[in-house]
Amino acid sequence: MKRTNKHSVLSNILLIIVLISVVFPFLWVLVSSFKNEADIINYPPKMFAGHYTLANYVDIWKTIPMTRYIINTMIYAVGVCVISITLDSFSGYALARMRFRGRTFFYYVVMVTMFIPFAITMIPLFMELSEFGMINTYPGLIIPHATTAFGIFMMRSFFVGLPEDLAEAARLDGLNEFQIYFRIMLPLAKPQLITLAIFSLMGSWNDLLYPMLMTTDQSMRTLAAGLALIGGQHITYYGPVMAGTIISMLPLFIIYMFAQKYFIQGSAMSGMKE
Amino acid sequence: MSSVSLEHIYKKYDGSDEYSVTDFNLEVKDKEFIVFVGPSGCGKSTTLRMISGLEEITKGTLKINGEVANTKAPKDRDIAMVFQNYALYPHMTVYQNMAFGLKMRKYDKDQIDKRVKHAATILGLTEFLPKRPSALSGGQRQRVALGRAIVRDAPIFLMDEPLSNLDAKLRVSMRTEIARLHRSLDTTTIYVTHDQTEAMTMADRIVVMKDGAVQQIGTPAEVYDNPVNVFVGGFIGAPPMNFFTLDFDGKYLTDKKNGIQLLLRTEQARKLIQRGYEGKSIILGIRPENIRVDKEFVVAHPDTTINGEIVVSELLGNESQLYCKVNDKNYIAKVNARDHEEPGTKKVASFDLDRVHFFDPETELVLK
Repeated sequence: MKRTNKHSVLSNILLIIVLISVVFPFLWVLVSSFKNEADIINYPPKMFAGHYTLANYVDIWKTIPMTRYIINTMIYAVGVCVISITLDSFSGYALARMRFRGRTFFYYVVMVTMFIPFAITMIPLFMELSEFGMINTYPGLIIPHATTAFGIFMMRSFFVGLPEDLAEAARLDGLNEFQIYFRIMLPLAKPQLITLAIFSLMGSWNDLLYPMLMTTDQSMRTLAAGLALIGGQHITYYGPVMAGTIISMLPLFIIYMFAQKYFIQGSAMSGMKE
Repeated sequence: MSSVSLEHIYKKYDGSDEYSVTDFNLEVKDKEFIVFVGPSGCGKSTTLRMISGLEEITKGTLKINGEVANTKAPKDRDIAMVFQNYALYPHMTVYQNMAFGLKMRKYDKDQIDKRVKHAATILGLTEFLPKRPSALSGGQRQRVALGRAIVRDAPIFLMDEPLSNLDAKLRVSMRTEIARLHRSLDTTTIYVTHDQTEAMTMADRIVVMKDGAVQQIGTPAEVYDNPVNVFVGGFIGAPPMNFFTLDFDGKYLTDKKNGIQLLLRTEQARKLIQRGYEGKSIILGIRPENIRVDKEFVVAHPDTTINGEIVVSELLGNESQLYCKVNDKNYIAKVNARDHEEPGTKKVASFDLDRVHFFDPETELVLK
């Protein structure tokens, strides 16, 4: 009994240390976004200041086209998210359930693409988009990310685990392949779809290099790219950057709060047994 | 009226060199309860799936109600199917699961409601209608699967090992329930199982299969009492039939190595001589209950005795199964509980020659 208590005390302490180290940077950014510049760069650094202000939030809105960035990011992230979960679940289902020639081959090809780093495809992709005249356009941002190997892999793994009988029962109930997919398989895949959607949203929302590369025009920049660039010009004012970071984190934070249940379910892959 | 006829049905899977089902012929009559039985991989489920339309027929003709159905879509075949692992839709309630097939067939709401509630009453599922399958036990789920088939009001039921996921006790009670449903619903049922007890207790006719081929079709009694070959004799019946390979000298059947010698009836010997088995070997098959240990019988039949030692004995209440050995040869005797003996005991038994079967050792077919 004592041993168990000792264990749980130890593991709790360990968890608290991990928690602090994860939460601290966020807290720092949050608190700093309300400090004035002098308090932020004060040495030795202090967590809390005597004076708080909303000026940073006003400044960031004035310095860069925040609204434009937010709209761009939303179009990019939501566009990629919707299209990619649709295509990923289609492909995952096909690779898991349909019988066609070369199914395994295609699956391996998809898998292999997961192992190619973006840095390698970056330049050719830029040239390709540039040839098509798609730099600085929404389709140029969205289409290259319209499907992901990871998404296909994740959806395929889920569909492979569903019993074949389910589709057969549906076939006997008079459903065609599309109806089987939409009425039986898709509702069962809800936790996986939501997880994938959050992964995708998070990925695109925080994506820095890719949107920075594919957009040269200020008016087409996404939040992450836009914020990164103000940090680099002339003198860095940390306050507005912190405020911008908080603004850019907020939507994902809210979504995650609501979808947490599904997210945990989906990433644990504990879907359905039958 | 509903009938199913299978004429020279063959099945070969893509990429396989061998047929999974060969030359399957069967006429299923209206309201008949047919059971396909055989070891796993014998092609019984494949055949059922070909009837359902879930599997393509490679060669041959399938007729449902007299109409060729080879290329008909599963939903147009007038059949309802129950799967081994229930195949209930996990995201729907019991009610929705049962109603789904009807909804897809565009039945109106009132009719769906009436049928679902009726089926639920028959199966004692009314209180579970608003629940999801995950909240039900195995037996309840299987009843929902049955309910899904019942609401369809299809004249033909196909059941693919519906009881094999249930525990032993539940299996027995569901067995009776299915038999009762079959009678009260007046359906034609084709049932697949690897369990010979299910086959024996439920079937009007049994189809015994092995390696994709039909071995024997007959009533449970026919299949049990007159197996056409060694396989059927060994597969149907628990414990299985005992087989002895013996030399026939025109009078006696002997196994010198194991010290077995049986004096055949004159009539039996004459028939075997006629068929040219004199001086050759032959397989004798005898069911465990026909190896008798009761004194009266043994005394009356001194020429057909076997003198073995009990290796394992299982007392089952009203009867006992004695697993015996004579030299290298093992055999099982099913005896009355009062003749039960502990392992290690020597036990003289006598063969009831009225109830033995002779098989050709090469073809393994029965000699009539």
